[in-house]
Amino acid sequence: MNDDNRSILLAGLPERVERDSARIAQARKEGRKVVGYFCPHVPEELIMAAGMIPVRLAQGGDMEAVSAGEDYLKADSCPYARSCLGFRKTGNPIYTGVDAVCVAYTCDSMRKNQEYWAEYLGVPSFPLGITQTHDRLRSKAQSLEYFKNELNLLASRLEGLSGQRVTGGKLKRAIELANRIRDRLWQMFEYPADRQTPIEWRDVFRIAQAGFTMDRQEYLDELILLGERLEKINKESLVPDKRPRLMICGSVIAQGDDKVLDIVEQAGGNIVADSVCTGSMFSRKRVTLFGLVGNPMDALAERYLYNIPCPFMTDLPKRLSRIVKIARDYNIDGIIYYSLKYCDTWRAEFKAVRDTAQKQLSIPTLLIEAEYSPADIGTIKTKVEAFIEMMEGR
Amino acid sequence: MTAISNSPGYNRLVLDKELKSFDGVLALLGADACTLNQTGKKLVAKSPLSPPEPVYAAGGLAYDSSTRETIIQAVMQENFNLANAGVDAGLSPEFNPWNLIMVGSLAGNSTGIAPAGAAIACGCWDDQHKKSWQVLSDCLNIPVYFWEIPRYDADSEIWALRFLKAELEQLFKWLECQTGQKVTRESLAEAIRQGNMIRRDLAAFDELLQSGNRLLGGLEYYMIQLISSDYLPGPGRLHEVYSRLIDEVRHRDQEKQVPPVSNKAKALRIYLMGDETQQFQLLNTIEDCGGQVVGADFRLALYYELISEEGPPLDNLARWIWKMPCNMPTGERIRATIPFIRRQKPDAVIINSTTGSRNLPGSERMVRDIIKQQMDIPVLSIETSLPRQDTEKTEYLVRAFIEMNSY
Repeated sequence: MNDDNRSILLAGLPERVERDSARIAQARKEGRKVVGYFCPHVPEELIMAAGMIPVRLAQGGDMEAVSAGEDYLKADSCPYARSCLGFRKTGNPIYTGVDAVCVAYTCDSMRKNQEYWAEYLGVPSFPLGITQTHDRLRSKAQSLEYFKNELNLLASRLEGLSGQRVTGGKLKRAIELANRIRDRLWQMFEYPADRQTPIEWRDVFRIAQAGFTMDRQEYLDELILLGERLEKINKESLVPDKRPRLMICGSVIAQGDDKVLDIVEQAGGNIVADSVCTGSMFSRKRVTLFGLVGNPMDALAERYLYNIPCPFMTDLPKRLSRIVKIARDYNIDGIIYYSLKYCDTWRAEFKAVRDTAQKQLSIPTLLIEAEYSPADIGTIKTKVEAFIEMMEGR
Repeated sequence: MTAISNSPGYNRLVLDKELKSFDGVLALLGADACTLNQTGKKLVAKSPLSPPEPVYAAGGLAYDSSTRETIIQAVMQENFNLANAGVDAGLSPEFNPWNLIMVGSLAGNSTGIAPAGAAIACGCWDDQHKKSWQVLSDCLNIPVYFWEIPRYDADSEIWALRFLKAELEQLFKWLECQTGQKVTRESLAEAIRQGNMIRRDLAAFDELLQSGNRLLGGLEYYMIQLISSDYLPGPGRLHEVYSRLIDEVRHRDQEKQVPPVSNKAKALRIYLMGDETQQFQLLNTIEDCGGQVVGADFRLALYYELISEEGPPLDNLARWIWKMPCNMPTGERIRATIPFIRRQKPDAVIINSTTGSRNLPGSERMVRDIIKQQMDIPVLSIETSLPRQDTEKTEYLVRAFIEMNSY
């Protein structure tokens, strides 16, 4: 992107936090409630339909927040989970600006987060039960039914907080808005599939993350504006990118957790695709509403139960085939497997991903285990440089 | 003499030699492949805190691989290299040693015990165990089946129980394929009846520890609890072993015999919580320092109450599983556990975290605060790892804690 035309979607994190927290504070003054959520299994549509402002709490990379989180979670729990609590304590205005949080029951650490937010931070904290063993192939009807009921329960708890009913009409309008955002965002994530791309994955990733805290309509408007500008760029005039094409997958890459991405960029690698929960995942699948008679809660349950590949679930084969598909679609030369230290669920799947990538795609996978501290920069840099050098020689 | 009584780890432990019927526990603890094969039943691996009833209802033999492989390999044989084998198989070195040893041991078939399949419960309490079996399913040529227990939330009771019953019905079908025996209403009711015998036994041991006299050593009690999670080699046999022990300990009480582990007139009564420790010597240390183990919540989830024997057994089992304390959010779990702790009349609580474990240690602060607030007794948090790793610091902490609170 040309710096002169830089979209507000590409603003740096501090600027975004300042801008969005001011907006949130203003909305609260006007009597609106703000609801935070961590994992993408929580439908933001429900929060919107209850007349509240959804914000995804997904910041990381801050050692002060990590340390503050250790008042609750032990030092050997993942730094992201510790930060989720720590940011509230260190006074991050986005985290202190929420009136409640919704926490999907995913991994052990996030479940503990829900408990500590409720019992220690004094913030209403609504748990969302989500099944771990569901699988479309095994057709477990009970999973969908259970999850739909959990969504209904969450909706009623949100109604209690906002004092507004979640009606079918409101839900449909919220779904429509979120779908339009997904479509626009997905168009951008598709650009880097081409070597001649008007926008790099890293920027699209930033744009996706900018959406976590922005007003949804404003976010859509900005996406449309930026999309129009990108469409006007003549791809043929762009120089094809020759750098090794990488995919990043694994643990959550939070806003501000730029260490590994920076190292890869500096080492001459080009990340063009991802399979992380803060990246393209949100935009990969719409909430499908069937005409006017379709039940929006059914549609939400279907979308949010089946389409978020998180390893707290047992359907590893499905996650592997998704990774393989992305790697093929984006013509990947290698995979960076990012495992936050103590993220048990992702770390335990590394071997399966590495072996599958080798067997089905003949491409290498590099495991990067990292914390938020800068102490491991040197080691990671050496590993990444060697990996990229190896790919350049292939 | 049992298979484990010649092992190096066993020789480091101080057991109550006067307690003759404890040999039965040691024999069950050291059950080998040959003994298990003699039963003629299919061995089905399970998670430590899931009830074994479904396996027995299907005519199988439940096997708590995590507890048993680790006790034999790490605690008794001191075969710590198996943790590295667990890493080689695909686990993170940051996993807790229960899972590392189990995966290393099963992947290398170290004990010679080969389950025919594994029915692994996924719930709100242990990601690592689930992921360990995901890794093992790739290493072992056996079917691995994940079934699920939805989180406890009073507001979701109706659909959570509906979900759990459907899960159990599917689990029964899977078990039938492994064992060749159909789970019927009668076989499930019988499995529940037999399981309740074990629950009564475990409650009886707790009751014995409520006494002002020290009737049962802490280490013996701990081992009794650990072998309860799979009823191996069958609930009938386990019940016999437990019954003999209970009788002998009751007899001691009547005869006013004090076991040799005691060394002080008034010991500090300690209730243990948190993760099970592989450092069995810790139980000896507590007593050496003047403490007395009066209970533990390690296996409480398996016997917190009897499973109702009135009405449809599937409904009863589902409801009981859903309300297991380990399936509850921490606050509710501890509040539900406190009445059990109070009954043991402890003077203090020690909470153990196992290095690398994320679940119980993650809520340790909350547990500590609730216990202190509601029971007003001192609480010590410790961390343990493999049997002989960094034991000095723990011993020092325990010793200081007991000394400080004994006056």
